[in-house]
Amino acid sequence: MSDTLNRGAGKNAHSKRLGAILTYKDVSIVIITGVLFWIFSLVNNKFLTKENLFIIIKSMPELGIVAIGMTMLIISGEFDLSVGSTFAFAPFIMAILNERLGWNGFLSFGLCILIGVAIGFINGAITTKIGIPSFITTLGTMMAWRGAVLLVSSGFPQSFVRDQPVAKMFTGSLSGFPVQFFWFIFFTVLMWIILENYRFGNWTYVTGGNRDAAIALGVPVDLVKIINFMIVGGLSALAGSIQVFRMGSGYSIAGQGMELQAIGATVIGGTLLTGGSGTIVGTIMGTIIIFSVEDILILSRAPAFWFRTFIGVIIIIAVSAHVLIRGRKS
Amino acid sequence: MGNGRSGTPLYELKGISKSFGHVEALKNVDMSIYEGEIVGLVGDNGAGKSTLIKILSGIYPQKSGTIEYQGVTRRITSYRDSQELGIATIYQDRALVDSVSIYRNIFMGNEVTKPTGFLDKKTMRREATRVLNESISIGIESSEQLVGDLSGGQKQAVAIARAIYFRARLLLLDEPTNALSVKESRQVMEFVKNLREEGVSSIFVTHNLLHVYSIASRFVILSHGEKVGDFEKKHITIEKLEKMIVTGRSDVD
Repeated sequence: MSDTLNRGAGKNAHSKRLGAILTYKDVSIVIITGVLFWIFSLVNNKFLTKENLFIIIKSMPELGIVAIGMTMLIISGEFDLSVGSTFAFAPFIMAILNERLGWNGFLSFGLCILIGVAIGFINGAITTKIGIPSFITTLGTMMAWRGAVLLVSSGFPQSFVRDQPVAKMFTGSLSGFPVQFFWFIFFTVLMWIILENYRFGNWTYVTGGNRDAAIALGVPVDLVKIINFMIVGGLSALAGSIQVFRMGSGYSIAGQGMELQAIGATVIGGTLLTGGSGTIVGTIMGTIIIFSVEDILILSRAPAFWFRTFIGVIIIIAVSAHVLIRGRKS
Repeated sequence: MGNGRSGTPLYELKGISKSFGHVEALKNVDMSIYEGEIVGLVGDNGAGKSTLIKILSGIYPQKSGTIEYQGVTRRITSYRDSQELGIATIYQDRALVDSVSIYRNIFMGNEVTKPTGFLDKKTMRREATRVLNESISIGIESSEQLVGDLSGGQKQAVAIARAIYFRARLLLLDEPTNALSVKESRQVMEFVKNLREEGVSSIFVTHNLLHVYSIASRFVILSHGEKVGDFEKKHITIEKLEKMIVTGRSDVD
């Protein structure tokens, strides 16, 4: 029987193998990033200098940390528009507790992360238990938490003492590298390990890929989604704290537009908005691309307004490139 | 009527009912499945076939009647219960995830892990390759291929391989040949037949009477949630079977 079944397998083997290499998860986005870096170095010879690459490395972690959480959530089939509001609200509470009420820095930071995780839990619980799209849930919470931070701040910044242990743990410099970059690397590796090598990672992929199938095989899909909402909430609070540590103030307008940049970095990196597919490495590349574009515009003294236009164009080009490269095999 | 077999059935369902609001999808249905038997579960749309399958697979928790496994009363209230009784469902939509690899699909929800909590990918790949080679490989090259790149028949093979690996004693096949080519359908049916030799039973749900008549040894006919007939294949012709499905009565000529 297996003879008849295997007939015809050989003729497509070569083209299939070629397709497997081209589609092998991250290859296309690494190529796209490489090509962009090459173009940028031609546009401006300062681009590939050590000093300039350091500027990119220093600015990346805040968006990057949010984006890796967003990637996991999108892979599980949901997304979160409220990350920018969490990014502002949770650290603002931390600054108030520490500065005005005299709480210990680590304690207020810990509570800030818990607030982020709790916001994620609320998003996840509403989305899965009531069964409304996460677009609606998080559109609502995006406005609600932004309103809350405007209310508690009355529009004024809240100062935060940068010269304290908790701030030094996440910002400043370690052998020339910004400390926050190491945290970014740490969470990148951690989430990569979870996604690729842990059962929870497999559940995240299958939940987003085919929810009914996952349910039929006993995967607790609602729990998987809620945990991913909590991860992105906690990481947004962390990223917002890093900004507060870095700038010495919390701002009620911090993180505005961040949700779309984080989703942008994720889709540039090849993660499908439909869920079930995507990688952390791709998102890191997407984040690098976003900051390189901003950087090359500044280096070239182009008006800053171009930034959004370029990011918009690059999102479309990158996603089209993914589709075309993937589509070639069929 | 009657199945004419002796001994204890592998699975015996008694008085299974299920309502959705005011709609009674199943009314007091009895059914038995013996070892190595292929039962054709037939009936028109809305007869309750899929509802019965979903109760057996634990998707609808069993709230009425009794289910006996090897003569012992058991309850199926979750997918886990169903799996513990050796029941595996091969769904219409195949319950596969296109965007992940074959081995990750086979072990979905039953991942093999090392003591450290890491996935044991090596074991999963090896076992997936082995079980695919032992069953119907249909030109599958590697267990790392994405399921989305497979043909309909290959996907069905992966779903069945998963069931075999987890030592299913009863396969629930819900419209397994629906999306398949003629050749692929024949391969899948051939495979189900071979499994019977190894003592694996199947419940085959389909609209395609030719398919089910060619492989089933017994037919259970449902109509509007009630069982209206239970015949050994030798006691019923395909014409009579079709009439019963259409009329919902067993007293046809």
